Amino acid sequence: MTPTRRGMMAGAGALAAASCAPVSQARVGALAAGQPAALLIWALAPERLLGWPRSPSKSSLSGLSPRAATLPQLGALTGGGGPADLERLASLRPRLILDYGDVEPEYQALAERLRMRLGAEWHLIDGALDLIPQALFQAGRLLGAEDRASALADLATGILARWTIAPAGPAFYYARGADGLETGFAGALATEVLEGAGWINVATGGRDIGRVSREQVAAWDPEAIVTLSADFVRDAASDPVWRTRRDGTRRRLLWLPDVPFGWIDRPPSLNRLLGCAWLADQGDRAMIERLGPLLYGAPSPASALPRWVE
Amino acid sequence: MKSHLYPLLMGLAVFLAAGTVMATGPLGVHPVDLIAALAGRGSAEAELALALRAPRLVAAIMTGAALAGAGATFQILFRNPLVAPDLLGVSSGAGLGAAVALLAGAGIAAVQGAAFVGGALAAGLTLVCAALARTGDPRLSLVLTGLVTGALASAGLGLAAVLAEPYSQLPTLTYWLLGSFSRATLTEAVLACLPAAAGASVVLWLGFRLDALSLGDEQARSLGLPAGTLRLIAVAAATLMTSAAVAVSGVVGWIGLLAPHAARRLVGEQASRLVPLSMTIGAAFALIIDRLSTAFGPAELPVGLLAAAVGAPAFLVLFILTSRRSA
Amino acid sequence: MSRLVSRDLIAGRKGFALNPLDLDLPGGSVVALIGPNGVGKTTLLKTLAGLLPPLAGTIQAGSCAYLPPPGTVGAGFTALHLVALGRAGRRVWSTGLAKADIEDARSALDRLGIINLADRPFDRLSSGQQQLVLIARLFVQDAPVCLLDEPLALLDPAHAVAVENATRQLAAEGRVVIASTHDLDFAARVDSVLTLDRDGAITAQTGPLTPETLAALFGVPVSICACCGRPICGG
Repeated sequence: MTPTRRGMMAGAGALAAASCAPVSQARVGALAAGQPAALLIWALAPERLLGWPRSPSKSSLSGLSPRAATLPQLGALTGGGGPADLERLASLRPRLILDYGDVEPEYQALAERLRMRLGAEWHLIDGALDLIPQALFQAGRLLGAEDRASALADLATGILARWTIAPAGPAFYYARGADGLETGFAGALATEVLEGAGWINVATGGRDIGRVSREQVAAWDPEAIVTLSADFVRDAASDPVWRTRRDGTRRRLLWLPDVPFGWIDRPPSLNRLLGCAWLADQGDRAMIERLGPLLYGAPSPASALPRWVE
Repeated sequence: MKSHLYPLLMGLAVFLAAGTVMATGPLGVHPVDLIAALAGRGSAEAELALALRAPRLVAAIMTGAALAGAGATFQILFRNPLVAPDLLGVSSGAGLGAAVALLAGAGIAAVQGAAFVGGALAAGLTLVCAALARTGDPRLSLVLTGLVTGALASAGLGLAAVLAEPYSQLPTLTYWLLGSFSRATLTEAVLACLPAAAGASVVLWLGFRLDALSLGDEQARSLGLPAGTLRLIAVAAATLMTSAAVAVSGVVGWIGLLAPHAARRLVGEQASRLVPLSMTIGAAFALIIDRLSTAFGPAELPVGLLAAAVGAPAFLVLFILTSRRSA
Repeated sequence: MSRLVSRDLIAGRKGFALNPLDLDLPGGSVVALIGPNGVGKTTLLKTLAGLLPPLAGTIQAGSCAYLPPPGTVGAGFTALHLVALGRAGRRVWSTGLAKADIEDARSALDRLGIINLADRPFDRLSSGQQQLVLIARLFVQDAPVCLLDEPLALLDPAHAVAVENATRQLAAEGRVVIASTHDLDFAARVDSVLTLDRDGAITAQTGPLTPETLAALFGVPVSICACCGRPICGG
């Protein structure tokens, strides 16, 4: 979205007015440029998050601390989701903007342009899965939450180490969305958590996210289907077309939680640690129960555990 | 060539195309095995292939025939060869209905139902506004109000795209708008055949009455026909067909425009010949693009895009050939 | 025998109305309706045909068929199909026109000498040919009252003669035929004449048209040859 000239001028004006007023030194607001960054700020300094790029759904809010429901929806500056209203963002007087994700040059350039318009510090942190500990340290310094960051980073390091040496898993197909016909092909960001744990993505021949036909899935013949969508489980659990393999045996269906956020995807942020932890050791409930509150500020809902659907 | 041979030829084409769709696909199952599966004695793989391909077959045939039939009906009614089934804003309205259902988190069946209702509502709104307009030419006011309804629905769709949740809702919505024959289950596709068949029966029954209506309201009434009522019936039937098609397959353009044109070249303007042949050509065309949609890699190309990619040049060729003939 | 009767009929649209009209026309004759452009001849014909609602009064007639001026009807299908559509109003529930309807259409075309046009697209025919086809349709439709709006306009002499003869045949079979026209020749030859003047008054002419009547009607001097009733130029 390109802000209008009027919006820019008004934003600059608001900023000028804001900088004239006395501002308290401690704990000023932090703005998330996209949903992945919002999760990062929420985990380390939830009291500083100014708003959600995209408000979590009602069911998601039940897995977050009460403050989450009070935050406004602001739109995203980068990445998917509705565009943000720059004037409104400027009126919140953010001193710090965090972006968490791709560090491609085009995003650096975007960061520069927006930094000039909003007059706040802009930091782009690399969102790669295996760099989560470093990202936590970096964000912790910026947010003044070094202790929390340190604790979480240690936990993350351990999880990631066990995750990379997890024993090989089944050949899987990732069913994204309610109809299950969107998937992440081998090497996609969406399936990184599963593939890194030694599971084999059967979806080949495409890049990143794409649309396939049911017959194509049948031809690939995965051992298991992995999904985050309750709607897909409801429709496909008893559908012979989805559950029957080429040799007539029953295909396994893994239903990963997506409350408050998906365990492997949606968004590509700290939430993926839960997926890594579970894949590293499927029996280790203790780790999950430790991680949930650290990431989200509330214990994971009782229902939020992966299930192999019959 | 004798004009009554064309329907037979096209019927044969449909049969062949259907056979191709059923016999080929990523699951490389031998045709013999497939035939055995039809009789209930095939391998598990063949049963799977049948279960996967049958819904596409039904959806493609139904959508192609319904859109072509609706397009032919509108083109006759409005004496305008550039008119498409979306004349009254039905496709846009159906798209908006589906979008609203998707945003509300409904299941696939509910989305299809909402699409159907959305299409019908859009058409209804157009008809009411056109009736209120009361100009000299009822056909003109229908076209204009249809444009407005379509534009409003499209704006609504744009808004829905902005509001949609980017990870699951937006992709589903986008692909729904681009069209696909593989989304519906066999039950859903067969159920959608009911309103489509009802609409088609009405249109086929109308036959010569459509020709009379194409002469204009005054002439139709002078011939002793209840022009206003008949036009309403024709529009309602065509809307029913279009809504059913969009509910099952999403927005697929060009078939409703192209098939009647091709049929007109072969059998002329008479409704009783034009409409059935259009429907047959539409079904064959839909089957062909269904086959093409899975022919290029694992990703399924949206049939709406393919219909445009194949249909638009075909339309141009037809148009050039037609104007050469008449020049 | 058909009959067209009207009592106190006021034909008109928003903004203008004709005088009340009492008509009692028996079948079997051709009536010409003459008057200046724009006085409402078409409105009157359409009202009699039932296509426009009258502002007041009643009409009693069987079904009426209205033929618009040449060049206003367009159709891409064949002339034969267009003629067969004359029966469209009779086939209320059936899925198609009957074979008999097609045959009758063929006979009608044959009767008017244009059977060779049967399979040609209507749009490709000349004005004169189209007009003959449309009159053939009137035969097939078999309405007791036929209202023709300027049926001779734009036609060359040969087609004009053919249309005039066809019009007479329509009447000869017992129908009431009213034709509006600017062709004073034609008006002089028909069975009776109605004049519609600028004040909305409709008068049935008894006897042949006189120069005085015509001058009063049209506002320009028009002379009539005393013996045959044809207009004389330079009158």
